[in-house]
Amino acid sequence: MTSALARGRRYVRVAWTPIALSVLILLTWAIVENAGSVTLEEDVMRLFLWMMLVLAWQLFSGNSGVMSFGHIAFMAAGAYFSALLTMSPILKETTFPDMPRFLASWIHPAELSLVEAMLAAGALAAVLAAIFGIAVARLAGVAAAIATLAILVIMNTFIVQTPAVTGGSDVLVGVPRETTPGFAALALVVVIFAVYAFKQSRHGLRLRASRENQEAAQSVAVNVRLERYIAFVIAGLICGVAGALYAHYFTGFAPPDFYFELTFIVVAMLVVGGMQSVAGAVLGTYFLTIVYLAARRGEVDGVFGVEPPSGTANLLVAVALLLALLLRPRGITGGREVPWPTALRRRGPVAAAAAGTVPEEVKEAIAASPSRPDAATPTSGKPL
Amino acid sequence: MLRIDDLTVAYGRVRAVNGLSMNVEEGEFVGLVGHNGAGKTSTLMTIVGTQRPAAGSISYEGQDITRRSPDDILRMGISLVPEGRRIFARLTVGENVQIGGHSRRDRAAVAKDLERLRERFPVLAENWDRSGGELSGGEQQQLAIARALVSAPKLLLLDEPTLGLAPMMVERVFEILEELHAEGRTILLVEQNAKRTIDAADRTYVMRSGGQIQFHGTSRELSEMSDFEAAYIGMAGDGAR
Amino acid sequence: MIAAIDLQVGVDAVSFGALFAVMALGLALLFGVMGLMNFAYGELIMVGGYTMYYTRDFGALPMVVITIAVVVLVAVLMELFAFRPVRHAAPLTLLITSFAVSFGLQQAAFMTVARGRQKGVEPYPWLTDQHHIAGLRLSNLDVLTLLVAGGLLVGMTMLLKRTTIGIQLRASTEDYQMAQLVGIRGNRVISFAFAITGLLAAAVCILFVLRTGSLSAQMGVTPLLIAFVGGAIGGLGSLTGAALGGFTLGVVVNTIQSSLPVDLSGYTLMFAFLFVIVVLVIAPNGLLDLTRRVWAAATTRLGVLDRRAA
Repeated sequence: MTSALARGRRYVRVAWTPIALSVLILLTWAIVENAGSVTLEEDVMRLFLWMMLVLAWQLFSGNSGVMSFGHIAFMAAGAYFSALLTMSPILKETTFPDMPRFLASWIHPAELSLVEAMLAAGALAAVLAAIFGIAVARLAGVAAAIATLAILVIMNTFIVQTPAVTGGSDVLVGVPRETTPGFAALALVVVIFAVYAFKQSRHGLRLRASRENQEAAQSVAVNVRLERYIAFVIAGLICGVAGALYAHYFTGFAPPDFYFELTFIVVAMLVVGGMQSVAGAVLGTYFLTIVYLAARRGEVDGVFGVEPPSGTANLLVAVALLLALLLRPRGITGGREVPWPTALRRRGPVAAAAAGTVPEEVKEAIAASPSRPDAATPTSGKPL
Repeated sequence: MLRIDDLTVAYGRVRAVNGLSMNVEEGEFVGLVGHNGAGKTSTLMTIVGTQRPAAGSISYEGQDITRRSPDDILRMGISLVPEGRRIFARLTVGENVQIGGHSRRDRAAVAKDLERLRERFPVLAENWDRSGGELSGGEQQQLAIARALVSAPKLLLLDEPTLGLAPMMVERVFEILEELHAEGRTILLVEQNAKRTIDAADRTYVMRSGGQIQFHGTSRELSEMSDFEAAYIGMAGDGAR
Repeated sequence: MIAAIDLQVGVDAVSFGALFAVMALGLALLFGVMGLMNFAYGELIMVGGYTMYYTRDFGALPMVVITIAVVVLVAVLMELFAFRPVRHAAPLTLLITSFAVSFGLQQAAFMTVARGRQKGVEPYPWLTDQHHIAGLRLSNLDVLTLLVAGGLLVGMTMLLKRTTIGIQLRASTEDYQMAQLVGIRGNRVISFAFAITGLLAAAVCILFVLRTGSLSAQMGVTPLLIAFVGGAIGGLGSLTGAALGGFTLGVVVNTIQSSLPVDLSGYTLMFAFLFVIVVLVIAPNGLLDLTRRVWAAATTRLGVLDRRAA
């Protein structure tokens, strides 16, 4: 093997998980592009956006072991802020007549592109996460989870109670539809690589160490607070971006869209997939989304001529979730990433021995060597 | 009375106990010693039913108890004084002791036993209404033993009762055990303090890592071993921890 | 005049807080015994509410009795079918399971009793009769709430400290495995805990519905949130702490609501939860732990002063 090829092979092997997962995403996108079905496109957009949220959650909660119920709040912030920046000024005048001057002066005239709005959304989400994260990073387990729950409620209450800026509890409409499945798929691929890179980076490693044993990690100079803070803010940023993409595809949304139901779905998807792996985030999302959307189709279109009552889909998701947890409590992936395919594994003697298949010639050579006469025979396990 | 056959206990892929066989006859004081991590606690936890073995069997008075639940096994007469004492810190001393007797039907007999325990452990009687968490280590150990005794066990299991105790308290614990033995109770004592255990017990098993029995014998037999073996299990000088 | 208003606000707040103390107690009981954060607990209130609706014409006492019976039954069934199979699973799995049960119950309600016109239970007229004591207005409902909540808290304390099953519950709450090793039957204790929680939930539900009157499939969500968060800031590990925390947050929420100008009163939950975050940062081990430490610090300082004086 030439060294360039060997190096290439090594890169591919290192990034195998995100590469494999991205291929899956791109395949999904290709199917949608060619099917030409609007409903399928909507379903797949939901899949992509949920997956982005689940990945953000994996980055923080999966690596740190700290539950966050609050990240959907950052998605809401991203959705609303990006919408405010891209809606047409005339529409904004009529929808938000009471917006205070200091905000309206630059929001009303603004008409940004999707990319700009997305970046702004991510920035705002990151800033909010940076503020709240100061408190959350200092707290342990249960207390941190409660604090994040508080964040979710705070954001929701704020949005509902401040119609001058957000439209309140009414559905906000008129957001230009600019997100395409292709763009979303691209963003998702970037996020997959970013989340995996984080996990494998020094930060990710330190965070995971603190998850396993906080005191031990601190004793080797891991600044647990700082690591959690960094992960919290990055996850918030990703959620903000997802919010912007969501707003510009579904073009109409309201505060309940970013509250407990979505939080539950995101948590469920990661737990079912396997909290500790990026592959778990992706596969868990696929699994539950397929169940949910299939159930929804059944609910809307009827099954065998019978129309199930509204809410059946949700019920089915809850049941599917329970079953999955009973059968595989550690998640579908059990925390493992995508395995390097066995067909591509090397066949050298060392690797083979490690895989348990020792070639005959090697066995004989070992047996014939004088220094270790009993090495060829397996240990009998009998007491001395 | 208690027979363990070829017991294997695994946590995932790690085998804490691998093919252990031993037995305890009625009225005996049997010791089980070995280094940290040898599998002693796993063995006890499997006997009382908290842990399921991967292979092997445990029988008690002729009946197979390998897969019985902990409260069944307690009602059959096996009581455990666990590692770390694990007294209920938020319950009072009195409640801790009484809780050991909840499984018994005969209230009058329980009351009598409680009285006798208060005499045997005066320090507990003095602190009857204080919460368990306020006692010292040695007092908590006595409480744990008293709690186990209230269920009127025929077989008493103890997991490292002297761990973390001052030498004087260690002596007191062994005194109590010897008294209980003299009264006819069957005792299985798991300890790291090999020398003291071998002296006190009728027979002692020495376990090595992986949970197999390495040496086994009475105090006299073990003391007749070669110097090397003796040093290995810590009979010469201080215990090899 | 201002003092009287503050006290008035205080009285309402106290009766509101008492409700949440009881609810937080129920949550903490389950948390201690099973390590289970039972999000489906709010749905017990919802079930009770709809039971009240369908039995409201039976008379006050039958309605109460039937509601209690139904809620306790649902609680015990919940344990038997949803939580017992996953009892030995990881805490996160238990959490998700309780989410799923909560969600499932809400959906079931959506599909059945919560359809169509919104249902409600009209408060009995005599509940709003008011008494004037020392310049304060106390409605019958307030009095009833305080009496029932107070009675339940006292009753629970006696149950836990004086009865055999109470001691077994406390032991199981502290160290479930050890409790089994001293012969406590886990299943019995847990079923009993769920039944007691059901009773507490039924009481909270009745008082709550009599206060607010309206029913919906999601009516259990906000009370659960307040009870859960309140219990957590109090310290879910101990029953007293949880009750204290639930009470505190209930009082805080009610006080904020009454104190805010009308157009801002919608922000109540937002301010309340900002308060929660602040409390968590100051007292990560819970309010009970904080009060204990403050008390200990204060008394030792006084003790030192005494010795110096002598």
